[in-house]
Amino acid sequence: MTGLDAMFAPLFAIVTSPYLMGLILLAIPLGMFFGAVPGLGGKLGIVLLIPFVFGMEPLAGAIFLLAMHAVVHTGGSIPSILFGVPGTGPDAATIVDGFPMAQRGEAGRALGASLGASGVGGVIGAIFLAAMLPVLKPVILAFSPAEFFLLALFGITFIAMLSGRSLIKGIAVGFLGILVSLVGLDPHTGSQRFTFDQLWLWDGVSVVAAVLGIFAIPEMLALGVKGGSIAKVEGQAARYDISQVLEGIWDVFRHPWLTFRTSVIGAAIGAIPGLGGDAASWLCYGHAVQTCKNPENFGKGDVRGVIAPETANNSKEGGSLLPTLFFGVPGSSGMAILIGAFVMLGIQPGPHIALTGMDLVWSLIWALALANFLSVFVFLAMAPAFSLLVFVRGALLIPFVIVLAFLGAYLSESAWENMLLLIGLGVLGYFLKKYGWPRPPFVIGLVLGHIAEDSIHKALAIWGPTFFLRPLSLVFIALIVLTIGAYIWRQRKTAGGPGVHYDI
Amino acid sequence: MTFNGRIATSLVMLALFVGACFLALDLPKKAAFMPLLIGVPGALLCLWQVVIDLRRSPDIAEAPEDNTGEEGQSEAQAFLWLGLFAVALIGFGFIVGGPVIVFAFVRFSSGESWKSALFAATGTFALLYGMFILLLELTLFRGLILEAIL
Repeated sequence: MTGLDAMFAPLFAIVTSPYLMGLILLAIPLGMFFGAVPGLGGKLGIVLLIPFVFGMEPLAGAIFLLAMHAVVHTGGSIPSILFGVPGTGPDAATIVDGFPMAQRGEAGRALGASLGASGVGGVIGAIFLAAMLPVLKPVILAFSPAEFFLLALFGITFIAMLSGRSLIKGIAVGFLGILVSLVGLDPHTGSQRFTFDQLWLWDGVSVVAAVLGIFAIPEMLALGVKGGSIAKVEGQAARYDISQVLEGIWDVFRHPWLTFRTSVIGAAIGAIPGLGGDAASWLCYGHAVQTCKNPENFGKGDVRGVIAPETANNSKEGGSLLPTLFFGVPGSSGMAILIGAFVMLGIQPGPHIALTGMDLVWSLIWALALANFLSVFVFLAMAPAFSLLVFVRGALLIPFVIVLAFLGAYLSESAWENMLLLIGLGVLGYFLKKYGWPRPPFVIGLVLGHIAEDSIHKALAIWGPTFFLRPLSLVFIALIVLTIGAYIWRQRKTAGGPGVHYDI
Repeated sequence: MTFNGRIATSLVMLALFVGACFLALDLPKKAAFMPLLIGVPGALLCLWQVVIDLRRSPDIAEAPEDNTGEEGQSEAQAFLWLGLFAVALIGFGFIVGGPVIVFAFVRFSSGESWKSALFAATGTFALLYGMFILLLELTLFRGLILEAIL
């Protein structure tokens, strides 16, 4: 098979399959729904859709979940612009100019700009991912078990630093995830480890049940405690019509270089494990302010202030697929959960993908591009309904979500005991959330635990304890030290200030 | 020094790591290697966190997110409902227990009308039966109590 065949055959397979195209078209409004309802977001979207992908082919399930996750931020811009309430964390940057535009009667134009920028950004992100593949393949193949062990530690450290106020808490939660991944029969000795003589634990803890427990249940408990509607939204949505939306879409093409630059920056930031969407959208907004003419207009309703963060929000998903698929180290917290779902579908991310799974990689790249492209048309078709999503009442959502979480936990291994695990981890997750212990590192630890253990045993067998002294190992040790150093520097810099906190 | 939920959470995390380390001591050397490699530093980090929590001034320790009376009551209710969901779904399965517990939650916890509760229960049944049993052809859990009775 030639390179072009390998690249375009998966696209042909997707667009000629009514089943796969149907799944993408179904995933788009779902993703927009999870994005547009403040407090839900893509992470919860993935965990709630997990029960629905049981029995699907791995590729179909992966395409469905990825397409849904890819357009979450497209929907997230709707409440940001109309109400000044971010649908998801990274959409906060869109408020700065989007909400003032809505206040002066240009809500449709802001939504159109956001929509066009999201679509173009997402497609450029997918192209970035495709362009990086030839560069990345030799790098991946140069990695030995020693580097994979350190990469796992680096991933946890990096995401722990960026996902909460406390590095200690983040790393501890990541380590807890690794410990949970060690439950089951030890692959080297066959002895039972932390199974308490329970047969259902012999094969290890179900990743799906654990992810549902640590994310979905705490969110619903928190919503139940808070009460009322999901968003603290008051008043009416700003009115807008489709001609304004089309004008906004055209605005994206009136600023082609800004769109291109922020898309590439967003995708590059996404490729750095753990950096995630908040950094991408704010950095691109800052870039637009620094490089555009008339910077004094930013913050007062400048359409460029909508385009920059929105392109970054969607393009970073393409970038974050790189470390997620090839190293098993998630590019963002959403990707951390997506990895769990991939594992459940029978797709094990890791370096072997570069050798045996390129078909899958190309299919996912095309699914990402198609979802972003088609989301523009889906939005135009359903525009009036989306503005009502922020008024969805928590009281009616909670029972459905909890039943789906129990269902997902049960279906993951057809073991009712997984529902007990779901409750235990759900209660733990609630208190972790409440007291500022970031939860994404848990999922990363859970997914990477096996790889880390296998890698360290192999590294010790090959090189002994001196495996830390290999050149690439030293690079990772330096990166871990730098991460901790950057955390300490950031803490000192923001001492006494409000600091950054992501509620995850 | 104020003992609160924040410190309790840190202590639970510490207990999980210490417990794992103790259990690992009974394992063969190779099987115990990774749990100890992760468990010992994890326990030390949690111990450090406990010290940080204990040394925080009482004002900070009484952070806004800590329990007020009203929030504590809502929290207890939320946990109670989670327990009821578990009893309903594990005891009576998804097809019977699911709609019943959704009905009860919407009517009694959310205070919605009987009509809304019935609508939510019917929707749950339709989703579970229509989507998962008819369309996806999955076998759903029938519940421990129902299985024992039937």
